[in-house]
Amino acid sequence: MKDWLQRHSKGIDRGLSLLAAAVITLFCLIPLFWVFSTSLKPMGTEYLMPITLWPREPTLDAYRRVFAELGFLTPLRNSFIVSLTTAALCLVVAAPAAYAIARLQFRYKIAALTLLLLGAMIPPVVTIAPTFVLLKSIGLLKSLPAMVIPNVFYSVPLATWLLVSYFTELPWELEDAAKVDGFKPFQIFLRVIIPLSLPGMFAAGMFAFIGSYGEFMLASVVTLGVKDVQTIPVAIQNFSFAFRTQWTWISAGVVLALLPVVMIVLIFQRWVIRGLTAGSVKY
Amino acid sequence: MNDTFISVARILLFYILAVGFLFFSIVMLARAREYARRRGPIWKYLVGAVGVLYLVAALVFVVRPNLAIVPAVLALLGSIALGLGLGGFRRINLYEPELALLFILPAVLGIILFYYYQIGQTIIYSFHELDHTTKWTAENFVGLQNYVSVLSSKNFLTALGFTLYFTIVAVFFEFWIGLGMAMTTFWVPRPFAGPLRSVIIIPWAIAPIISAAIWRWFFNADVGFGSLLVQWGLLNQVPLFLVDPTLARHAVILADVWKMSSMIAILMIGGLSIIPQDIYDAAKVDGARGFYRFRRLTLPLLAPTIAVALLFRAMDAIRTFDLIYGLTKGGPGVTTETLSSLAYKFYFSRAQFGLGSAYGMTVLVIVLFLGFFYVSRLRKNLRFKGA
Repeated sequence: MKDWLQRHSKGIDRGLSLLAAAVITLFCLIPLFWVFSTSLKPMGTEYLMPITLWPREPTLDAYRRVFAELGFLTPLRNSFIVSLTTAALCLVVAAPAAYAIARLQFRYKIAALTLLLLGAMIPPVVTIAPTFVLLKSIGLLKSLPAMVIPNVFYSVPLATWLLVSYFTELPWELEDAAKVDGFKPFQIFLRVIIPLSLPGMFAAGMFAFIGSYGEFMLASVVTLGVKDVQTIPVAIQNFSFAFRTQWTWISAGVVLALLPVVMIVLIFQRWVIRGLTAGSVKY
Repeated sequence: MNDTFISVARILLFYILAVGFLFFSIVMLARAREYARRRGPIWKYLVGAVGVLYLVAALVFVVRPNLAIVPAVLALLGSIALGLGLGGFRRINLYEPELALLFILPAVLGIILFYYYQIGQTIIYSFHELDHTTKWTAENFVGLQNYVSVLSSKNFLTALGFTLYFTIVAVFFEFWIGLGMAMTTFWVPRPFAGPLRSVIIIPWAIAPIISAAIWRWFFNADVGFGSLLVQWGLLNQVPLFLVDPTLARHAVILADVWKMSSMIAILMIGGLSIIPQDIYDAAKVDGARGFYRFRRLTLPLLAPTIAVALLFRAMDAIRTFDLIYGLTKGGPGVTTETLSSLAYKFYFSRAQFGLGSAYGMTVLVIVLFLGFFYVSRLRKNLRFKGA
């Protein structure tokens, strides 16, 4: 017996590791599978007993209804507008700041970075009420910019922190060479640093996108129930309580809401990990 | 739509002007400070006085935004006058620290406006009796009364208790599950590592409110996961996940563990990947085996990552709002109410901004307590060229 174990130890190790991987996969995907299979059930059959894991006759009826009757296209569009604008503006603000911290000589670097980090820690529930009043007083409630503007600054700390770690990794010789060629610091930033750190910029933008795509508290407050400016999280929350029994519809909405983010994550898995790690652990 | 466009344009203009003026005047003041050193003490005090004006303007802005224009304009004019008078234009090109200021100012200004200034506002709110309906109906200064009624209310104690319980239990399980996930990605044969990591990240990327909706369906009393277990003969009775107080509390925790173990796993993958492989090889040669290797090598080497990850997660867990709001709305009763979700209810369901702010401040105090350790932990390791 012991002999056998020793001879096959490599194979057993592999088998155990794959078993662990399978358990993890199940743990992560079961709730998603549950919702996905519900979304394919014909309306009303989601309550039939016994429970079926996979519908006998899968149908896309729920998806059609969600688009045609519940107007799911509007929140989908709104969410994309808000998240993409947020990501773009966040990079415009964060990249120069990160460049200054990583590459320029000045005394208050650590102080500036601490200011950003501490800011990122502040719970949204502490700032939401005055932010609401502020947005109200400038007449921005019930509009998409009311979500974009605060979201930009909610995502700036992480983006800056991430880009700082990218910029510090670039070789200094590049900058010296550019200086010899007569580049001004601003030109170095635009023509040397930015093109070289496009992956980092992309990762930072992706985090801003994911963060603002899922942002709920502010979005729920500033839309004030107006359907035209709802983003996905608000729409899901509202109609999952409004049609609290129609779970095929809600599931279809949830699956549609998940799709963009899940796609991004699957395609750019490597960058997500590298980005998040750089953003909080690496030093 | 048109109105929106105009207000956005106005905000943008305000922002650019603010950055521009601030930058110009700070540069002037900084240069004036340099020259004042040579000119004698009177000039130095003048520069100092103008510097104080900035602080005054910032403080007044928190309390009475309209009045702040006076010290702000004085500070701007003062610095420009001092800068010009002492020769601030002797050099037109920017020094490097000045350029850095220009680069960093847009971010810092926004962060201050949307975080720090708002905290100031919330503190002020928390000292007032504010009922926010269609307009500000009541605005009486009540001192510490809001805090007294918060700290003495039963709901606060329940919410505080559950928030802490939630944080400790959830972070505990997330840590071990996340660590296990991360180590498994290094354990499985090469070709499986990438896909496994992708799978692990998915729960993290899902918006919290959407994952709450998913779990609400998963915990459904009639045809949820519990019923499935009964159907398979694993349970005798359908557990009422979201109705029974104890079960509801743990259902919320389970949903959080599902989503946030991924977060810990991602951080741990990063931490594990910078541990050099030869240390393990050496240990293997020495005959150190599985568990011993984990206890004596992996854990100590991973300790800095673990500290940061735990603090990061704990701070995040304490302010949990979306999950509660989407999954249980604090129910049954107030058993799954966290401090954040309670504050939100006071703000936007009962329109009591004063009381809500007092609740919010309690969250802030706890988070900042942890945040202090977090930042000092991170700062210890920050090294920059030219800092």
